[in-house]
Amino acid sequence: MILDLLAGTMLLLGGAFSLLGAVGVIRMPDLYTRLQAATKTGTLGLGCLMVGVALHFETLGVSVRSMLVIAFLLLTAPVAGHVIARAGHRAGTPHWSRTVVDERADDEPSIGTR
Amino acid sequence: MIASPDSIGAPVATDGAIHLGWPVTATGLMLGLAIVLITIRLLRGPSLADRVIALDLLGTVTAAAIGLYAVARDEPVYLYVAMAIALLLFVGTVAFAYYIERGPRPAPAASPEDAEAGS
Repeated sequence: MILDLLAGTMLLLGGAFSLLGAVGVIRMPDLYTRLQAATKTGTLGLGCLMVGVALHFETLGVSVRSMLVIAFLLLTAPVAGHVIARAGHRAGTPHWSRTVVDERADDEPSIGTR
Repeated sequence: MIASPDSIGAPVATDGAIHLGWPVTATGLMLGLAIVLITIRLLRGPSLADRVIALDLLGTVTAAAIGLYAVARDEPVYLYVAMAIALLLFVGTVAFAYYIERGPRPAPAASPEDAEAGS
């Protein structure tokens, strides 16, 4: 009973975070702000929902699988976000008009320097 | 609802009905709306990197929807699909980033390879 309540809460939280990430991706003005909206809320949304899944099925195998999904996500999502941000910056994606500072402005858009 | 120790292949609702009631329905509606909004950004992203970000988030939301579907159908087998999506998404994003970083301009001074590739 209480586990079902917790599972439903975590499922709703995951759905809400995913929806917030989608709204951020739609509404943010810039590639970089969109990126920071998408990466964090995506990670948190899928993470919360997988915790809800593990609380709903109260078995060891399902818990291990959902924790594995969360571990993959926590390992790969920041790396993917960083790689996309660097690639977009080197490809010359324009900033928002109210961007204050671009600390990598002198990063030459070169090929093969990694 | 009493969870059996091994719920694989033993769905409680035989007609595939939704178990957990309205939280599953509400979460499904939120995920569907999220997928619609992300698809709008995917279709009209100004740059290629915007589209890749939208695709990445779309894959994450799809994995979440598959997890929700596993809960709704009480079939934990579907979680393997969520695991595979969460793994392959990273590979796809990094590959897209590599080609964005290469840039749209053609590779300079590679005429023999171009001739070879063209033939």
